[in-house]
Amino acid sequence: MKKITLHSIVILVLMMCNSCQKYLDKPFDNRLEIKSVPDFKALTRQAYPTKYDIFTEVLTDTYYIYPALMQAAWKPLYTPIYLYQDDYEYAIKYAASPATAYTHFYNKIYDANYVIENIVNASDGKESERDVILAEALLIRAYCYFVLTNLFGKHYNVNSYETDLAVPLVTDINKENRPTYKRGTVKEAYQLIEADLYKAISIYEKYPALTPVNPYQFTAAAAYAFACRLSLYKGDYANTIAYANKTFESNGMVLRDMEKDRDQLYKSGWDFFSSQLNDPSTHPNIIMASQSAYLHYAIGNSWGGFYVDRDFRKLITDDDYRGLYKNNAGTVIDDCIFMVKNVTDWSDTRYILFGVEEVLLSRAEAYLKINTVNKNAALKDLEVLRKSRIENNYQPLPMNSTNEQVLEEILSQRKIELLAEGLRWYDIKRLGIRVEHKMDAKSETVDATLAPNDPRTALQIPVNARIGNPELENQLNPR
Amino acid sequence: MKTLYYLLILLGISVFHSCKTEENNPTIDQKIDYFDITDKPKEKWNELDSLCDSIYNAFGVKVIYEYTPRLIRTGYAYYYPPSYEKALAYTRLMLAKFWLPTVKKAFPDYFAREIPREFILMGGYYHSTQSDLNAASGAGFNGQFYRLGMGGINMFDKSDKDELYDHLVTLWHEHAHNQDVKYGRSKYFDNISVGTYYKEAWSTKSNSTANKDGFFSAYGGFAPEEDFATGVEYITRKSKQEVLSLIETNEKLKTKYAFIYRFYNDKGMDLHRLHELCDSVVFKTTY
Repeated sequence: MKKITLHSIVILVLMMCNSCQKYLDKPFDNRLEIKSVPDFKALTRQAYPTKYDIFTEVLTDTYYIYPALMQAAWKPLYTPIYLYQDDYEYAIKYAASPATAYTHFYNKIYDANYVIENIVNASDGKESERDVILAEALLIRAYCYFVLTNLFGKHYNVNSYETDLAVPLVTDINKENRPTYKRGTVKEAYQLIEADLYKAISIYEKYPALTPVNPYQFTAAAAYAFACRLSLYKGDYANTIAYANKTFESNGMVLRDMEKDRDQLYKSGWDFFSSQLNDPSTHPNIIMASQSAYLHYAIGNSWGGFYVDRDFRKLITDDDYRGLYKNNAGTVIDDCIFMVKNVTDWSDTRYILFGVEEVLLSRAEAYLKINTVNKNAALKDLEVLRKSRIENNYQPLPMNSTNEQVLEEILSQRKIELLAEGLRWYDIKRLGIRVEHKMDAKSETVDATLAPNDPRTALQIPVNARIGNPELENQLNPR
Repeated sequence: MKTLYYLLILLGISVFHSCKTEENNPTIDQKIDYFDITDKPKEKWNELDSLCDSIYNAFGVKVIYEYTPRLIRTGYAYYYPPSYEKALAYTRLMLAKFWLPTVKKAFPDYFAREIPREFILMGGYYHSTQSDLNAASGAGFNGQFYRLGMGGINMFDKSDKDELYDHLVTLWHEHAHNQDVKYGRSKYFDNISVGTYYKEAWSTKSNSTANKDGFFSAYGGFAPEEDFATGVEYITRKSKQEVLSLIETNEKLKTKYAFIYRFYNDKGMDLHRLHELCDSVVFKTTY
């Protein structure tokens, strides 16, 4: 009897060990294991960020607040942001803000980091395929850090970038329970961004047939457009021009056909127009777009509370096709205008992350700022855009215009063309533009002033980030 | 213990002091309906209160002329009540003679369903730092279901017939906003001129340019809601012949006219007949 019992126990133990072995072979919670090339591709697609920094429009000189029309729920979020205060309601999670942008871009960085760290171990696929996926993930990480650095750090400045703080530069998947991270400097951030970006470009150039062509992914043209923007922000005008040229070589240089857009509006009305406006299949000029939940609440609706500055909107004349986007909010007494560049209901919408018009205007600006100024080339780029935007009475700038006059016009066109697309704030930072915000646009009282190179051009690290990473409490932006 | 009493007394005084300061800077309490009507005791009624009571009994419309000036809406635009004398003269003529009895008699079904239940008299309005006395200063207020408001009461002058007529047709313009909110002018109407509205540039356009562009007036080019209301206003203001002549010049105007005319006719209101009545009560009666 004892023998039987003993044998039974031994068999049972052996069986259990066998089960454990098999049990440990599988993920404990049935989670998907990312092993194959298609898995990594899917994760990379999931890692694409959207336009969570579009809220920055309310920080600029192109919008003013009009509380009477603002959805009450936004007031504790957007009013302090408009006044350059750090104590906004960070817990509103369904709107674009510094707090949600921080979380969003780091979530995407996590996914990108996973791909970057593990694609080499993919169980299938050719090396070239794996490299292209790696390149795409590098571009995503670079883009996310580029946005984060430009949101929460001062603008790139070689005189101070070794001490100016950017954001924590996390390049691997955390293996600890709750790791903490210190902020890197703007210099370190740009080094990382450029290393990722240019490595990705070199991979794309090595395997041109394998690079993505889907306009919702980083195509080669989108990568070049990214390099063009980065170079402009750095003040590297030679590379701004070089990467603009590469963008156009790769993508062609076709501007948005606004006459066609207008006819679409006449034919179909606002709902269809706004839903199709950034549709890459009907607007081949879009280099890269993202589709996501509605993030432009504050600036893109009758009840958003922020409307196009009354003096600035006069620059968009009757002859300018871009006046098409203007829409009234409130009544004639309110005199408020918002731009319809995205849907105005609660459906998903498409945001432009990089567009041809931006690249063209960046190149025009660079032609005037580079040591060997090329005014004729700048004028040529400028007039390509102006001619396509003015319906009647188009008059080119005189060829004898001074460099300053041409530059002024380029920056003015940039301000109009990219309005409501979330890029103006970065121009304010890099060009050192003074901004005055009033709570009552018709009053003489200025409630908040942002000076050139103001410390508040670096948005404060959000409270939610500091809760999760207490290291940041000791590295807050000066105020 | 004495020290504690002194501290409590000091605290009490400071609390009262704070309250007084607060009163000097009243803020708008979002929970209060500043048009909440508190019935005055009858022994305190003045002539206008009695007239308002008669109007309420005869037409079911509550005329409101007393209210806290700074409310009606949040933000920087608000309206202020009229002076007593102007309000009395206005109510006697514009409401009790021109507007309510005429519509009730001519269009009883429409009157019963569509006449607002409250009518607010506004002396004028402040918009930010500006003050205005225009009749149409009810704009921004009339997007409601059952309340109508008219501004410019402090400018009321019964001897100026042209102004009286203008006010009366403007009243129908403002009432059109009520109807628009209540029933919806529909996307069909909005798409007639979609993409061609002048928006903030409306004031730079002439009426003749606006007519060519398919609007009844330059102001109608501001936005679809004003396009609709100015259409109603134009048909009420002009003779049928003038209206039909204008719409023949532009296909969009013709489409809008057909839409607006039917929108009202389906509810029991013939806008051309309304024009005749407005013209008649202002220019062909004595008062």
